[in-house]
Amino acid sequence: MKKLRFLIKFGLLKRIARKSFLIANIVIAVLLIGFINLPAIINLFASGDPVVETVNVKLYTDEALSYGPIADQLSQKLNVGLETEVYQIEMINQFNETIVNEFWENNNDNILIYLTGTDTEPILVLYSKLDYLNSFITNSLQYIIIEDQVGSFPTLSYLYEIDPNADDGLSEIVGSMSTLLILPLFILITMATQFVGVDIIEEKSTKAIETIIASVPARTHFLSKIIASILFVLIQALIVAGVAVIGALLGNLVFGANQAAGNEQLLAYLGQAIPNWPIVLLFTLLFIIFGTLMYLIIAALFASMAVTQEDYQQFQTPLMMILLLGFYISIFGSMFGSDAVIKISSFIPIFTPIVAPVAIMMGTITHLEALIAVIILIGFDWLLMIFVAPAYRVAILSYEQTKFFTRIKTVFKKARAK
Amino acid sequence: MLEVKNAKMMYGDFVAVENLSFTIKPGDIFGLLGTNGAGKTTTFRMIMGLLEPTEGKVSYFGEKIGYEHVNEIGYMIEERSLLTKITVKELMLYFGQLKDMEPSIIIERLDYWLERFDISAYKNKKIKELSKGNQQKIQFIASIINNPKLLILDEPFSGLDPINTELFVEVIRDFQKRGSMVVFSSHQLDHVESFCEEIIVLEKGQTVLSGPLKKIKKDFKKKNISIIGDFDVEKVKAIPGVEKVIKNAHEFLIKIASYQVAEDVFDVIKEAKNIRKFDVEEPSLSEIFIAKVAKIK
Repeated sequence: MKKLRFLIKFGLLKRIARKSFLIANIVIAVLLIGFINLPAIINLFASGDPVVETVNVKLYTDEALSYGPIADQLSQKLNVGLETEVYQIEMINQFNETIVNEFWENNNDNILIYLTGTDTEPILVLYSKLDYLNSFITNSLQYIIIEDQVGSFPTLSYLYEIDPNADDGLSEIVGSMSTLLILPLFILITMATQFVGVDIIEEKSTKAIETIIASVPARTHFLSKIIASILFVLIQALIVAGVAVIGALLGNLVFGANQAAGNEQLLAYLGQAIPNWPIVLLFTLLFIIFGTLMYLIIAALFASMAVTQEDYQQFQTPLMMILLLGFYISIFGSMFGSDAVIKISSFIPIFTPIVAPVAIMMGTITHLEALIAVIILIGFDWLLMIFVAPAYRVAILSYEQTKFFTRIKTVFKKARAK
Repeated sequence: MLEVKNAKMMYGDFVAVENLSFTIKPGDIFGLLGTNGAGKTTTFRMIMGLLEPTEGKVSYFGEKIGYEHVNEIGYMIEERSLLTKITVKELMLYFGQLKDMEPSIIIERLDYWLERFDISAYKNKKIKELSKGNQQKIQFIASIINNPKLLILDEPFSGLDPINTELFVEVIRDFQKRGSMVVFSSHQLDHVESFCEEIIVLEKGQTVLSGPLKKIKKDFKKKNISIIGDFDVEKVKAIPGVEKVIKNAHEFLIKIASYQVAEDVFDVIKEAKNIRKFDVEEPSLSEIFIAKVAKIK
C-alpha cells in the first residue's frame, strides 16, 4: 500500500510539477475566462451597435378588467430609480392580429402587453423583443394588480410570446453546447490515455521497468498508473471548472454594471439552456471517471505490450480512432439531431464517456437510461480489469516483437496459463 | 540462504527452465552462466520472486520467496535500465523509495557511493547527459543503494574500463564480506572465474554443469600444457591424446584429452633443449563452457 501510494504520488507529480503543466493551464485559464465572457467583451467593444436607451411598451387592457390608470402605475414601477424615463408606456385602444404583426415588424416598439381575463383571474400575454425584461415586467404588473385589489390577491397568469423574427439563440446555444462539452472531454480522455501510455512505454523502453517490477508487483504498478492518471484528469477537470467559476465571477465583477452585457454571459445562458444541470454534471463526472478508467486500462495494456515508443504509437491508433469516432458521433449526432444514433452509442461502453454526457444534456436519454449507461460502463471496466491485469503482468516484462494481434493472443494465452 | 529446488518454469507449452537446483549461502558469490536464451533471466526472475515456478520452489532463508523480500534484494540487469529524463538524485529517490527506504537515507547513501565511484559532480545531472560508463555506475549504485542481502548482477562490467571494473570488483567483494549473497552472470568468463566459488551453467533451460568451480575444473578431463622452448612440434602432435597444438606469441599451448597424456608429452619434451616452461594447467572456464554447451547445441 505504501509503495502504491508512492507510485501514485510520483506519477502525479511527474505530470503536475512541470512547467508545461503550469503553462498549459495558464493558457487554458486565459482562453476559458475569455470564452465565458465573450458576449460581454463583445458588447463592451461594440460601441457602434444600437444600445437600448428607451424601451417602448405598448399596453392594452381588456375592457372586462376594472383596473385604474395602469399605464401610469406601470411607468412608475418600471422607471423607479432611473435617471431618465427609459420605459415609455403607450396605451392602445384595440388589440388584434394586425396589431401583433405590426408590433413584430416595427423596430421602434419593444414590448407589447395584452392584459385580459377577469379582475380575479387576470391573464397576461407578453409579446417581447427583449426576453430579459419579461420577468421584470410580469412582476411589476403583478404588484400593480395586487395593489389595486384590496382584500383579494389575484394571481396573474402569463404567457410569453417570442419574437418570430429573432434568432433562436437558446437552441443555438444548446446545439453548440455539445461541442463545448465534448471537446474538453475528448481532450481530457485523450490526454490521460496518452499520459498513461507514454509513462509505461517510457519505463519499458528504457528497461527501467525491470528494476521497478523487481520492487513492486506488476498489479501495483498497473493500478498506480491508472489511479495517477484518473487523479490527473480529475485535477485538470477541477482546474477547468474552477477557472470557469472564476471567469464567471470576474465577468460579473467587471461587466456587472452593464446589465445587458451581464445577462448575456454564457454561463447565464447555459443555466437557462440546461435546467437540470446538477444531474447532468453528476452524470458527466461519472462518465468521465469510469470512461477514462476504461480507456486507461486499454491504453495501459497496449503500452505494456509495446516494446518501443514507435510500437506504442502504432498500437494506440485503434484506441484513438475509437475515441475520435465517439467524438464525431457526439458532434454530428447533436448537429443533425440523430437521436437514435446518440442513444444507442450512449450504451456502448467505448462510446459512452463521450456520447452519453451530450445525450443526457440534450434529453436524448433519460436519467434512468443514463444510470443504466453508467452501470454498463462500470461493469465493462470491471471485466476489463479482470482480463487485463493478469495480461499486463505478463506483457510488462515481455519483449516479444511479433505483430499486434499475435502479441495480444500470446499475452492472453500466457496470462491464462498462469 | 537462497535455495532453489527442482524449479521448473513454463510459459504455456514452452519450458524456459527445468530441474534447476542450487543453494547460495551468505557470503557466497554464485555464477549463473549460459548463452543467450538459456534461461538466465527466467531464473533471475524466479529467485527474486517475480515469477512463481511452475514446479519446485525457491526459498529465501527458509521462506518462500515473494514480494515481501524484494526490499532485501538488489538487481542490476544486463542492459541499461534507467529513466533517462530525470536526474541521478531523482532516480535514486525513486528506486530507493520503491525499496521502502527513507529519502534522507537514500541521499546519505547516494552521496557515499557517488563519492566512492568518483562521480559526485553528476548528482543533479540528468541520466541521459551521462556517459555510458557513468550510467553503468549509476545502475550499479541503484542496485546496491538498499544494502541488499541478495545481490543479483547480470553483466555488471559491460562497458567498463579496467580501472572501473576493478572498482566494481572491490565493491562486490565488500558486499561478500558483509555476508551478502551475490548471484553473478557474465559472458566474460574470466571474471566469473576470478569471482565465483560455485557456478551453474544453463543451456536451453537445462542445467549442463553445476557445483564448485574447482571441482568442475578438476573433473573436466581435458587439460592444457603450456610450454616455452624449442621442441619438435610434429612429434608432439603425433602423440595419441594430443588434440591441438597452438602457437601463441611466446609459448605453445597443447590441448590434451586427459591428465595421463601429459606424461607422454613430457617424454617428448624432455629430449628437447632450452625448455624454460612446462606447466600442466586446468582448462579455463571458457573452454569448459564451450565444450559443455556445444555438446547440447
